Amino acid sequence: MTEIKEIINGCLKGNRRDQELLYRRHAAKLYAVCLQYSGNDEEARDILQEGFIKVFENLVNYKHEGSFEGWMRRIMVNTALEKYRSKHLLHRVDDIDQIPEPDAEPDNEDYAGLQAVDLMMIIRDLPPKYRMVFNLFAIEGYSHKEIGSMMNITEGTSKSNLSRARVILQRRVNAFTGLGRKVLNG
Amino acid sequence: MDNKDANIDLLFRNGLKDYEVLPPADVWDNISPAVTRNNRPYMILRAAAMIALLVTIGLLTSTWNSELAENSFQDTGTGGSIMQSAPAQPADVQLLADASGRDARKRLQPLQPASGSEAAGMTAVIAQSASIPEILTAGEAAEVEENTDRYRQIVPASTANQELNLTYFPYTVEKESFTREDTRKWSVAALVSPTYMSSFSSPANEAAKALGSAEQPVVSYAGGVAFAYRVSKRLSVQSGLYYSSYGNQISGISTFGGFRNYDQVKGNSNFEIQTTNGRVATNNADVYLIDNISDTRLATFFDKNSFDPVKASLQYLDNSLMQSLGYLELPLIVRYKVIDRAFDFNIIGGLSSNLLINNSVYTSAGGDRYEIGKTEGLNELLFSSSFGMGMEYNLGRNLSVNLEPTFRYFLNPLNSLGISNTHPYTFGIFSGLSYKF
Repeated sequence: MTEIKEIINGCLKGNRRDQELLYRRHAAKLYAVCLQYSGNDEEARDILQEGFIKVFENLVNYKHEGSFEGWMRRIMVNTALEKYRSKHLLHRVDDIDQIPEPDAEPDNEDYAGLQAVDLMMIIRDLPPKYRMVFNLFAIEGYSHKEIGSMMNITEGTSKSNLSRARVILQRRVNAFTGLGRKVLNG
Repeated sequence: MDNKDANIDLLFRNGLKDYEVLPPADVWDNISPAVTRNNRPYMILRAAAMIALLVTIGLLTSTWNSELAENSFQDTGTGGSIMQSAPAQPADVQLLADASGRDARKRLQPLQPASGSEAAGMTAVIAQSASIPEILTAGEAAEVEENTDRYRQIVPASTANQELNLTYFPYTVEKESFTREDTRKWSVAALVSPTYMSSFSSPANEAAKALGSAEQPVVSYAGGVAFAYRVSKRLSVQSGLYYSSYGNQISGISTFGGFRNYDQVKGNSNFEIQTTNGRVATNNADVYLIDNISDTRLATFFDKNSFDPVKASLQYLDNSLMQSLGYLELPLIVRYKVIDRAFDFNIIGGLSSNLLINNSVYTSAGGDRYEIGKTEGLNELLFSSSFGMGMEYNLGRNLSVNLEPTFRYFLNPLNSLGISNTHPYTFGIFSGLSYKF
């Protein structure tokens, strides 16, 4: 039996040590996911907490098929989505017409100087609806149809939100790298 | 999707793929109770099973007790059986006599009655055997009559009167003879008990209260040998030698092993942990501790923000520490017998002196125990008072099974330097065997 299977079995038996071991092994990676889906640390912490409780509650349903970390990540993403829905979308809003067209063509920059911590800061600065769509589409790989039903928006809104998110991200990345060069050159 | 879109997507996807951030230390402490709570139904089931077991044992004990009383009634002796059969079969004496007059005489001549009941039984037989003179010769009949008279003289008058109440007679006599013969003064017993220790503490401040909330007493054990001397029919004085261990679980402090390679500090202990029972100083340089609950319990040179034991691949051991204390106990106990039957019931009370002989703090992982350190400033000698109930079930003349639920209260605190004035109390159910001589 692999080590992770032993730990999971220990958790299922209520072994406290295995429960904490499981948490400590994966908390840092999953907390990064929570931060990516939230605008502030408090919210990220709540998602991690609720997500991990769900992980332990649903561990009995885990079939040992596919990546265990991927399974836990999906639980965190779903928890983040539930939080988003409860906060932002009490009823269906179709705001496609309110989305302004991109006002500038993004440059094709060299992003070599960007660190993960910078990317995280940039993505967390996005407005919640753009951040959610971008994360679900670009990072998790969901289709617009799936995102539409997950976020209770139309497929068209999902596409436009993604487009808008990309423009904002591109602009901020450019600004960041441009600033970086300026400082270095200056 | 054009290349620009793909680029920005890939930039974030790849850039954040392996990104990790340590969550705040107290997140686990909010998760842990929620997860533990899910196991509560099983705990309730276990507790229910335990109660059911105790009730069953109680009922069985009660049943056995009453069965024993019935058996003692039936096994009172020959007197009892003769007496019961006498009214139904008055021909018993005839049969004895028919075989041989001498035989009959021999059977009717046990003039050293082992008990009053036997004599009474014989009297009863004789009383109902009106035909004796008819079947014996005149001389033999006279001899039998003479023996009968002598027999009647031996039987007390009160006993003779009970010939009319034969059904109840042997039981009464048997009980009297049982208690009358118990001249044994000494008894020795071996007893063990699971013990639960808690305390009536008066926390000096909020910090002390917070410490207490993260600590949980655990069931431990006690055992030893006791000697008792019976002063009177109901009063005994008891002493002996016991070993009692107590455990206190300190939760929220995670231990990692393998820190020796990173430990650059020589001599002093690396960590000091504040507990309600006193300060614990680590003496094992191989352990690294993290407090997940508060910043005030753990004092150390090492900054948890600059050293991450998970990143350093230290071996995770457990998230709680066990504070273990062991005392050698010399009790002076007085026992008063309230019910004196086959199932005795005693009230027990006394004082004990407790000498500290084991003081350790450890953590356990995978069946192994890792020493952490010792609790400092503990009182070496404690005095305790005890009160309990002793149930004693007599298995035979000398041997009995004992069950003694006992409550003990410590008169002085465990640690005079502790930040809270802790007077522990313990509860245990001692069980074992005792031998009277």
